[in-house]
Amino acid sequence: MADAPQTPRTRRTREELRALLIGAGRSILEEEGLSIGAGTLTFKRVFEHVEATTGVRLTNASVIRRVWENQVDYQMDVLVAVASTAESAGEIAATSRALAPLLGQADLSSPTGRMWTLREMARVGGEAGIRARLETRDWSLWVGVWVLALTTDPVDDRRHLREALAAGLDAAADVWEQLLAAICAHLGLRVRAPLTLRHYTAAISAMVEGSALRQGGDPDLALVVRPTSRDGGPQEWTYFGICLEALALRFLEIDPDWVPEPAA
Amino acid sequence: MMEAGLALLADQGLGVGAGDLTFKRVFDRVESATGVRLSNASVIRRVWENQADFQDAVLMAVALAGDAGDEGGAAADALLALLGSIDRSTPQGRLRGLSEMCRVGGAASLQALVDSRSWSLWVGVWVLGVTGTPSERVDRLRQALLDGYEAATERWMGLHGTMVGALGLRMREPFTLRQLTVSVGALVEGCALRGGTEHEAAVILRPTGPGGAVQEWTLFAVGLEALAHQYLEPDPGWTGSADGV
Repeated sequence: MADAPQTPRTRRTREELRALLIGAGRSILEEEGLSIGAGTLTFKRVFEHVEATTGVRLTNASVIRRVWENQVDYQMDVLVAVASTAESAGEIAATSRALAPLLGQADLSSPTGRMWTLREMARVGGEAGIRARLETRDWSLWVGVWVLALTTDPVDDRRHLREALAAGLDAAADVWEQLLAAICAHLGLRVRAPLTLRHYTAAISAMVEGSALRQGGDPDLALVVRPTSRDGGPQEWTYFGICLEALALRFLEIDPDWVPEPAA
Repeated sequence: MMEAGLALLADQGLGVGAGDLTFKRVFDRVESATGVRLSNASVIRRVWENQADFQDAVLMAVALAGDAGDEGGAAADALLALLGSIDRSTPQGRLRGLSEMCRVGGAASLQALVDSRSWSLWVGVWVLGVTGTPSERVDRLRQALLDGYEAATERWMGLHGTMVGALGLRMREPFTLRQLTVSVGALVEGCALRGGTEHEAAVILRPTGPGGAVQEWTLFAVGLEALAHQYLEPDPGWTGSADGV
């Protein structure tokens, strides 16, 4: 190892020391990442939780070398479980519930009516989706695990974590894609070539995640009032709904060959 | 056991922090980088009360740096280089220029963000701030995050405002420049979070070049173009003033 450069011994001020050590600490974190994990999730605490909630008493002998090699192995398994649930089913359900009445009442008689319904879905679905996202702690846990995978070298366990995250994202995207395909079919819309429904799904998901990061902390994200009701009256929009509308208009267009299904 | 573990994490959050950042490791780093030798006596009760206090100070520094990472400079360089080649003589030309700026600037800024270690650190600290059990320490961290976020948003608004003016565009009523900036920031961070997955990373070929020539787009740039056209429109009163950009 090369000799470190020598400097004369001087007594540094409090401020100089502070700047020196904060800079060094920051460099180490940039190289190695934050210590994010489930380190506080000890077997002891989990056993106590299990006993308090189910009455089942467990000991180390119940699980070590039987279920997991050790506590670290168990903690990684829990993180992988978090990683696999990219988006909560609750969010999809909340959005679907908010959109169902709109689809039922949609004016399908003209391209104008169909496009208006698309915009209204962005407004209503956007509000429901972002609220559901923010109300669940699953999401913040998921972001934490994602940062863990993102900021550390992809070796062994961490690679496993990244694979679980990717699989979780894909599974969630499949569900969202089916929902969006159904909406497009109902409203007589199609994706603008060469974009695909998967691109659209991915763009919406990215918008949701970035917005949820901000919505948790930006106090200035007030509602925007726009003259967008069917008769030009004012309606309240979240900024996320405005973004969803923008994506819908960029990715989707009227399908000229679409014929509405006859009423049952 | 898995259910219990997930319930505990949901209740108390992930352990996020700088726990591995011991004084010993930082002193070693300082000595190898600068030759300065430090000991606990140099800092404890002089600069920080203890090691945990120091770790908090580092997290606060990350929080105050904001979420912009290093991508602001990369995007500005890419956009300024492009501006001279844009036909700004007609509203159509300016809107085409806006799309091209989204394509080129979007690719540059997303890549810079994905490559930025400081951004991923910032997201980690944000998670701690948002999910941490309320305490005086977490409150201070939250305030630092908000301060850093605000400063970064102001910087981005400056860049966006310059580009909007240079292209002879204006905000559509009732939108504000801040809403555009926050929307773009949300999209780029969402894309960066998902950056490792196949669909976000894939290049999209669109016939958007001169004469319908095919050009490469990232998914983020397509979304950015959507946001730009949502929030902006040609300024009919624009006279192509020499703004120096």
